[in-house]
Amino acid sequence: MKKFYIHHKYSNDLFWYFFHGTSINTKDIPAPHFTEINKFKINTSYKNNNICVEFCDDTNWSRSDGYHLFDFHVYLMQNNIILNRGSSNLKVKDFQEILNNVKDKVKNNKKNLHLFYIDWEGDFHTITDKGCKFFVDEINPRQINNFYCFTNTFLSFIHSSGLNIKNAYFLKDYLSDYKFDNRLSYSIRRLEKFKVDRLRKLSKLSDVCCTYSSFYFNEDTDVIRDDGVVKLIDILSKNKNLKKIEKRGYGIDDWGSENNQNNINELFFKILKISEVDIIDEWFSVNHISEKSVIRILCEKPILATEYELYDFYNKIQKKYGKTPYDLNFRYNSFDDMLNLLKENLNTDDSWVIFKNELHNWAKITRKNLIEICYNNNSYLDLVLGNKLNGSLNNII
Amino acid sequence: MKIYVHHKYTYELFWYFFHGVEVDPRKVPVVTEQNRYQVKVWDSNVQKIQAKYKGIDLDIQFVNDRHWNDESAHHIFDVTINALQQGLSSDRMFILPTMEGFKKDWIPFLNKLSSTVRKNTHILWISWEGFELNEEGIDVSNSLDSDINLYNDNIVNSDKTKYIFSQSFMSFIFPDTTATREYYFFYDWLKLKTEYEYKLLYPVRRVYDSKLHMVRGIKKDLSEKDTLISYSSFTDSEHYVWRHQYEKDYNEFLQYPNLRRLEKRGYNIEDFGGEWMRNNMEEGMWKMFGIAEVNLIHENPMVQCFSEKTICHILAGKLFIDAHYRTIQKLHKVIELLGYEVPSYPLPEYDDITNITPWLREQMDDEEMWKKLKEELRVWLEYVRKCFLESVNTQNSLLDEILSKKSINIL
Repeated sequence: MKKFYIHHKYSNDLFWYFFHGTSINTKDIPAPHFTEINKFKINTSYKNNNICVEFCDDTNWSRSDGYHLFDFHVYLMQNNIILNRGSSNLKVKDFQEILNNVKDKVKNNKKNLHLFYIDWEGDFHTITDKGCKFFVDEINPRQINNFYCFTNTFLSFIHSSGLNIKNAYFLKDYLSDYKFDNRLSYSIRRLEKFKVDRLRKLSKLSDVCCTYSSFYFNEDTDVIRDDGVVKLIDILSKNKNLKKIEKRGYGIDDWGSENNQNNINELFFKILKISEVDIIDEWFSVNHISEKSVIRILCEKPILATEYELYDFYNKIQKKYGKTPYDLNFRYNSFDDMLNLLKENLNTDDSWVIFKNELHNWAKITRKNLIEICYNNNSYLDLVLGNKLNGSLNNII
Repeated sequence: MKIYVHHKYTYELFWYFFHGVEVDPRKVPVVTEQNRYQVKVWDSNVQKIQAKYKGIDLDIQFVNDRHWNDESAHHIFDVTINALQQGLSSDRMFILPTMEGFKKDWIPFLNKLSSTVRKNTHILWISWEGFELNEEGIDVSNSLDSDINLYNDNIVNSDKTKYIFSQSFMSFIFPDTTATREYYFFYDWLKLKTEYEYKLLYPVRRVYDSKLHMVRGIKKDLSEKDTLISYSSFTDSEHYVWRHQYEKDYNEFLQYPNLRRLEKRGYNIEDFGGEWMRNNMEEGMWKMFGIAEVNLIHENPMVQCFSEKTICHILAGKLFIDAHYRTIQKLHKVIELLGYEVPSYPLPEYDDITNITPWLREQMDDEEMWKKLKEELRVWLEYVRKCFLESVNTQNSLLDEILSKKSINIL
């Protein structure tokens, strides 16, 4: 029997994050109420392998009979250093110190130390440390000791994000009844130059509602404003298709600071309502998926990705786990290609309905398949129990 | 007018205490040096905000534990917020640690303040539980010096404690510890939902005698096809501390046919985890609001406050009727207090809903009558929602009290 020591305080959410796909009966994993349960041990199985899971917090580091799991962001959250996985970049500077501390604890057992560094930032924070095995969210890891775990990454948004992203899964039932005012929308929060350029092109289409957040212009923002961008927004704001999303409202409508939870709630309750199809920038150029696509897929919202790699990635993941993905009947190679495709399909009501349904079919099948994959598989356990941690790069694409 | 708030600062607390004032939201600070990297950090530095209320300039200062002896200011202290900031509780619902902390640490301190300061000290205890502050075992108002002003969320109080509507209402929103605020925004998603499995849902979390009484009436008079009774798996979990006390009621309840058990604990994404208030509220929104066109809710008829049950239905615009007419009367009294005309309620008056279940059956059996009833309920609910929201955006009960120092027990 393989043993897994998890060096965090127990929670039912953490159990699902690390050990989804196992044959566990939910009733056997407690959900604490009033009394905190820091330690918890249970036997279960995964794909005919018996495993023992022990949440042992800061103990048992010297045990040599199992793997030692440590997730940097869970550690930071449990110690009230960060509130959610998404704010991890602020704490990158602490990474080496935490890593050294963990290495000291595990002493001569480093080969069994499994460190999770899933920060939803992809290549922005690649782990270059050579000493242990890292489970990361870079789809194609750049380091030989870094391993991509799809299901753990996908479920990190739900079970260990601190951001209520799970709500998107349930929102699906309400989206289907909603009457949208627009066919398409493109919403940006940070007014980066390339996004504003896309916004400029998209806002020329009559069926695209473009929005930007007031955040960029707030006095307490930490962004450095680009005068060119400010000027362009000023010019574009005369276009009726461009709307400003006010972060700061009065009383109950005040979304307050630019923290991740507020932003996610704004997305749920303001952005997702705007249009039938959301145009999103998922950054495959930096090798990861973010909450942008995960939330839309969970609630079955049709996505038009500015980078077509989004569809390729999710379809390849589905094939990898034996599922049949929905192959879209179109393809594009650049943003301008996408724009041309849009123009064609916005021509008539009929062409729009066909196009929209195509995107909805993709969202529907992808949601169904990904949920099934995360219920029956566990990418981390597949790697460990399948002896795939042999040091070769485990590229997905 | 100078007002000291004796808590650490967050923008959510500003809105909780000072909704209704004239202020530019952008001048309400959200990012400070202390919370820049950790939004939930309560800022212990002094935060000053200028605002205006009913023509009076307000110099609002969140000063935490400073300046208690300043006789030139009003002093505001909220018992539950203090418990939150001390880490004694995670939301308003946990009374015992909150009360013990207040009685042990705060009452002796407050009683020793100078007479002038005591007269300008305003203590809020909004608990959503309806207990009176002079009750045996609580003994707060009788332990606190009579100069000190005391406020709660009970519409009726038998002691000096005064009811403050707007803070009571806003306590469900800010600080957002229980996800009740989400219901306000959920309104937009819900209003266009058309497909429901049932006409009426009676959702029960904990089964006990008075709820069993409602179940008997529902099962006797209402159609199985149109009505669903759901219950939470929580009822038979170890989390339920009164499980054994109500075992007989629960066993009788389970004998009824066509009950739907809502599993708190599902596999993976479907696992709503522990019985925390936030989990319950999110479970309620996502699992219980989409089942039936109208929810039959069961507020405690013996208390004088509103709980999250009523408030979340109002915020979400979810059609509801209450097991007891007294809840409707309480809502109407508050609307009257706020200066609005009391709306007509489409159901005939009843003590508990079983008095009118035959009438309800008639409405539910006839599609036209049911449609009309739903529409009238919708008009009533929209009006209540509008009154409440409009009121908290323009009025402030605590500031009204501070300005007038008049008692407003309303029933």
